[in-house]
Amino acid sequence: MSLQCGVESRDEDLSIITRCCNGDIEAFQVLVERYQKRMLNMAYRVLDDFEDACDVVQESFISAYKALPGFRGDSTFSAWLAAIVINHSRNRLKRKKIRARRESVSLDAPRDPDNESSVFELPAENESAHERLEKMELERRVQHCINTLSAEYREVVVLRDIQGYSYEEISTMLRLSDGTVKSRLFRARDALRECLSDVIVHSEGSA
Amino acid sequence: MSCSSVKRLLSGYVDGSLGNEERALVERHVLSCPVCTSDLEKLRSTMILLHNLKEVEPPPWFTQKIMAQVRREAQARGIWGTIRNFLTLRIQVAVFASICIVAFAVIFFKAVIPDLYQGKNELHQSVADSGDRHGASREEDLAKVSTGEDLPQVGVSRTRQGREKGEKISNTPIREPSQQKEGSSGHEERLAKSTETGTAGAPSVGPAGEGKTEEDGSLKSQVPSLIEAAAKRTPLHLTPPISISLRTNNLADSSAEVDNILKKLNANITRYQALTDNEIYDVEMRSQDLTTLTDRLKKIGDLRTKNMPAGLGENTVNVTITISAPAKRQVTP
Repeated sequence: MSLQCGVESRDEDLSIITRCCNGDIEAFQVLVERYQKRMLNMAYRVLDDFEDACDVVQESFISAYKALPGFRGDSTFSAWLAAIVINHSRNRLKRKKIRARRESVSLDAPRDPDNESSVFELPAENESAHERLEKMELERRVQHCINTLSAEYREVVVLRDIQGYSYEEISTMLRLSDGTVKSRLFRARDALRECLSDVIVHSEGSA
Repeated sequence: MSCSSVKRLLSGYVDGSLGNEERALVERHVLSCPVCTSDLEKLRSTMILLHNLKEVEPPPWFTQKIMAQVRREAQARGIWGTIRNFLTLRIQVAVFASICIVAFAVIFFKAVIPDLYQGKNELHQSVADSGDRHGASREEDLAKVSTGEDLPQVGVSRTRQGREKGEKISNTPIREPSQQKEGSSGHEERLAKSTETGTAGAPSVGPAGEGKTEEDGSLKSQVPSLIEAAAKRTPLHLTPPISISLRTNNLADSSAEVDNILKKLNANITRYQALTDNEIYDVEMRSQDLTTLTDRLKKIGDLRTKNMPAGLGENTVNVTITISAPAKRQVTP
């Protein structure tokens, strides 16, 4: 059985979606390969857990496939898919917090960096081990500061400052007004600035 | 511009989302404020750190795992998938439970309803066979219904006392003793009072119009033997009420005259009902005064009687007097 939808083909994503709706399941693979990395990074920065992020992105792609008939092309497929990822991430985060509260485990407990070193890109050729270590430490610190934000502030920072979505796209994804998005972004950035103030000073001092 | 105001705009300034005017304000302020300059630089550094976060790479099996799930989903949407979904355990249980409930309901009502029918037949049989019983039995109740006794009569039930000027109409049982012969109020007052309180909301013995015997007839048709049995053993004053219909040209004047006649005969008006085209009196009076009553009423208008007793005797009888006049037609100019 094929998915029926009424989407006009305006760009490549839309034409692929149309093919999917007409029964070409394998066409969906193009969309998966195109957006999996971006969605995975978004989920990873929100959840700060690679395995959870992988699960969330898989669930999101399945949800997107099921919801394809409802995609009208009002936003880009990327923004539409990102909204699904954010929703799944939000739910996963809630479940994690509940579980952590029950088990009295801190979500900010020190992590084993060795488990995560392989998921990142290979280091640059001109980068020394020391520099790499410093970078990793800095990134951990930044992620730690992101983790201190509440879910709604974390989402806007990840979507805007890490993923680069526009205010309009973020408003649509999160179903918030433009003013609310800007307000949340201002508070989130201010909180991050405070959290990273000693790192920033150190960086400025060493520069 | 104050530092606190500028601080709120720094985030948009770094974003490039400020309008021209606001951007100029921030730039002008920052030039002369080292604190805001420092804040701006820190904010920029923060955002650079965020932008420079390394990206994670999806595992090599990621796409295939997703597509495997997508293919399973697509398969499930097929016809067999639809049937399979329909026959999932949850639906099966729900269907089975529904069937059980329906079956139980059918069995239950089949078991109960025959008993109900049997009980009803027994009840009718006992009512029909209890002709010689005395006391508070169903047949006596039915007899009382036919004569109008001992029923909760709610509605416009006026005694002579209640017809005094300015008095409210009270809802009294029909048999409330009230033999006072005080003067009646005007006809207009009666109409006004009856309009205020409305008409009876409970079954009344006296009919709204002619056809008292029709009511008797309907009762008789339901329980033929009971009425006859009740009539045989009950005193004269508990027999079906006597009905007098008076047709006149002027309802108001006729009603006043009837009122006067009843007062002179010491009749007790137990109930009064005023409608658009007629008025109804339920009256308790001496049977020996019936002739006088009819003679005087004949002078007012066309008279018709029903259930008049053959022999008058010396009893108290219930009489329903219905005065009617043709409805006035409104003449439009």
